Amino acid sequence: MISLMRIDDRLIHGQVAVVWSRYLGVNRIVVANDEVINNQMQMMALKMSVPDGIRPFFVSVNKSIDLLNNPKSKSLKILVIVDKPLDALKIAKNVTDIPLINLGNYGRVNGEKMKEKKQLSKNVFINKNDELILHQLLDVGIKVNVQPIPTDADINLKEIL
Amino acid sequence: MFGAALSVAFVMFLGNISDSGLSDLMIRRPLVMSTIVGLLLGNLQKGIVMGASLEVIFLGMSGIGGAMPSDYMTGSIFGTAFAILNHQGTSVALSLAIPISLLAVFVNQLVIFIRGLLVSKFNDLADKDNIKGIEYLHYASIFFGPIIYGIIGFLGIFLGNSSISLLVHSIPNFFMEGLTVLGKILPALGIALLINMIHEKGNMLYLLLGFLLASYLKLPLIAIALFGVILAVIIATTDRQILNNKNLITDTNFQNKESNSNLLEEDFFNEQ
Repeated sequence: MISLMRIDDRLIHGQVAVVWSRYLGVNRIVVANDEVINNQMQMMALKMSVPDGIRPFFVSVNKSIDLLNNPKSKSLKILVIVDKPLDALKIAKNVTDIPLINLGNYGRVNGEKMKEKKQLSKNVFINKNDELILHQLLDVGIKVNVQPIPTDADINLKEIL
Repeated sequence: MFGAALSVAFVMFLGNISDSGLSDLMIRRPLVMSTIVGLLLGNLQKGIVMGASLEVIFLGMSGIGGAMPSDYMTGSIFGTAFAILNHQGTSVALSLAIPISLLAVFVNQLVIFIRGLLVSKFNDLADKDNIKGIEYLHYASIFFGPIIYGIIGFLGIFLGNSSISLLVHSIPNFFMEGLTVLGKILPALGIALLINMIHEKGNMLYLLLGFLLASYLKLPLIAIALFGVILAVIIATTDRQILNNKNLITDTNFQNKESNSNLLEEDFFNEQ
């Protein structure tokens, strides 16, 4: 069962590995990303931050859809992490039982001109294209919230986009 | 007082640079910091005792990214220093360390904020291919925080000790007794915070084991800690052996590349 899908352009880091995973009590973290699976170094670094008892998996976006749709996934508690709304949209369209999509950190580290971006919250910055994709993501019908860690306010993306 | 202030400034500097410049050797922990403060202020024994008491309270505290719940390093250095300089016991150290550590978070936030401002400067230098400049700026950002902490350490003791001393001496006796009791409860909170971070089905057994050793066999804590070390070495050795064997198996599997994608699924759904 999927506990949460998180959009976070830093993938696994303290907020995800320690806070969310403990809060949700997951036993699998699936990083669905087409770039990181070709980067041994980055995968190694990301794996290091995962606490004991939780197993991280790095797969392509397509592969993650297969894994998550496998009936055997029902018996696991999975946290899915993607680094951009486009990947989230792809997964949300093809996987049925996602209870919540969480927009954590986005748009600060990918080196685009910050001035042209719209700031949605403290940690989320989007450009025109992102905005379009997020609207499509909302249209899928799954709740999308903006909440860096569980103790922060739970803001519905619908209200601020 | 000048010498004491200088010593505390040095410990503050050392503790902070161990994090920003020496890959965090864990010497920022109260256990180490208070001991060094005790050594420099001429009361090593008191320093160790206070360090240990503070360590249990802050055991479960660890900052995640920039979000630091309380700056236990600054709190324990000042708490210990004030208590030793005013010839007070552990309870005073504890009751000063906690509010100070909460206040000192703001210093940490400020240092992180200013370091963040340097990022655009780094970008500029990178655009201009100014490698020397980047190097210097790196050193500046390593030393900037520790120097701020050192100055705070110096001023805190040099200017603050007389008022803290006045405060400590004006605390009524019944209140002091209350603080002593509180100081005995706080370690439970520290342990609880730690358990909250690391609890796992398997490892709660070890806590129970330690508890039984203490309550039935009346073993002192040091004896239990030593047994713990032996147990840890045994478990780590077996774990390593298991891991080695596992790697052997996966290595042979990797030679058979076609089954790779099935392997991932098998691994993913394998309960562990």
